[in-house]
Amino acid sequence: MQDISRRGFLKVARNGIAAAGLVAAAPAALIATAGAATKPKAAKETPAVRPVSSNENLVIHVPNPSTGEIHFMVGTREVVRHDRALVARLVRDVS
Amino acid sequence: MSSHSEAPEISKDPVADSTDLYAFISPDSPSKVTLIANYIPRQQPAGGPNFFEFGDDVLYEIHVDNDGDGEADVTFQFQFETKLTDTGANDTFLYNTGQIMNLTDKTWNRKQFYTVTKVEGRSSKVLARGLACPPCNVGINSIPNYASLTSQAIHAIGTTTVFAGQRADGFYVDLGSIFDLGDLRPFQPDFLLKGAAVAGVNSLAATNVHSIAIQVPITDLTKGGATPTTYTDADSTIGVWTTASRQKTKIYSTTPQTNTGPWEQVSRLGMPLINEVIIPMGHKDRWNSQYPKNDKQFSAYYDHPGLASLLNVLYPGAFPNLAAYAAVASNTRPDLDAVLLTGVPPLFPGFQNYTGKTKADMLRLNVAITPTATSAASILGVVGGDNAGFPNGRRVFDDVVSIELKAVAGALLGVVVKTFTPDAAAGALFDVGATEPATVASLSAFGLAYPTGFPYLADPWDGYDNPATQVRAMAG
Repeated sequence: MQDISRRGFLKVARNGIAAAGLVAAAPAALIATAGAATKPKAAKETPAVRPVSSNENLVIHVPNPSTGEIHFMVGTREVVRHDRALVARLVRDVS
Repeated sequence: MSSHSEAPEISKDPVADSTDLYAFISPDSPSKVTLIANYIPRQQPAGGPNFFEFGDDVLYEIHVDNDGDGEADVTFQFQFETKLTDTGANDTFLYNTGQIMNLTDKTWNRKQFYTVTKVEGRSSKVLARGLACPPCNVGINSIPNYASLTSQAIHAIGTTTVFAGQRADGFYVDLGSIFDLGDLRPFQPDFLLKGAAVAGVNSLAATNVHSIAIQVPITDLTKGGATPTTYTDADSTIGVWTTASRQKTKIYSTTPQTNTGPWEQVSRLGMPLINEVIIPMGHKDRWNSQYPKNDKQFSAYYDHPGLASLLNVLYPGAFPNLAAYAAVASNTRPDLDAVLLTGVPPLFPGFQNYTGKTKADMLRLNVAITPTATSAASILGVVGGDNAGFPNGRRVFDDVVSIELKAVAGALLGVVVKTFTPDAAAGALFDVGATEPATVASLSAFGLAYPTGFPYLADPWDGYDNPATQVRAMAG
């Protein structure tokens, strides 16, 4: 996230917030939750999910900050959470 | 065409752009089904130092539905990995530093390998890893014997055979005429802006594509592993489509780009020309993201196809019956519904590929119908009296453009709407040639050749001679 310029990030934030970093930089509990909560998709629609490792990218996407919805993506997984406090903190950090 | 750059977004992403899909039973292997999905359209053979290749970041899939619900029961996944032979020792900028005689040659610098995975329901099994692709056909100096490389790139995995790599595009169409206001060259005297009749040309002549071909026993695909014996068997028809997917996010940086997130479908193809000419421009990108099981949402575009309403305008007076039929808003197109969305009920002797009421864009193949020898095949398929051809699946040489032009013009409408009499012009439509080609041999006049063995598409056009040959011809 530190590589994203303020102007560039705010441009993205007009339509949503995206952040990328290492799993190691994210709370461990979050990753555990993300993995456990991933809704299993029909195998016909997605290949086998790789296990989360500590050096994989974690991408966080906030489509609309006002809703508090936040998407966590690791490998081929995605989990959606609602956390207004976390989203507010992210917005504050990049403003 | 048939799905080359057919939608705004995928036209900017050729690596993930499916161009054609084939599903057929070949006379040389009658107990197996051959499935071929082509990607990366309109490849100019001459190139370098970078040539065409599959996307390492794309998930390519071929799906098979065997119970008519528009959902995949069997899926074959193909994922690619690119490796450099020269990892820094020579720091060459070249694709190849000498002749390529074998797929393992160190003179070939940029190789691709792939993994094949079979998915059934929730079970997923890797069939093979590290399968080698052939190189692009750089030219006769670099690759003096391309056929040998093709043979080396055909891999047997038990009873399954696979190939992935560059091929000559077997699809043919007069793209220039169709998208220049539908001015089919052989019919110019009847066109709105009248001209002399001239032969239609193959706009895709001497171009290549990348093919993913897999040949599997019929019993690997049918419901319950059955071997249907007659074309009327309930489980004799399978539905096939291909998709390409990309992960939801891509991070661009100076280090290798990373892709993260679930796979999102960006391209799909079942029946030829659907997203091309049936689906309106504003819905094409969304159509590519959808599953066949949800295609009922698009049925209005089949019931009132834009091309049908244009025909009598572009060719004044040539399609009066079609124009009168289309002028009644409540008139729909059950003929197109059958051919394109549900499969054809047993209306023709010896043929049906009906899979039920679910409207789904799939290439439907009745596996109980005996294949026709290539020398006896009609490239007009069922319309030409050859039930082993399109729309019973699709063979590499089937003239799907002419068949669908005839169908959209109402040539088959009278079969299901008894009060409708097809216009004489409907059955006459075709695009390539001066007279309508009917046999596989007749396609050689357009530079097309089709091997009779796997992978059934010809070796790719080589870069040294193409487009040099055509340019020389233009210079006289």
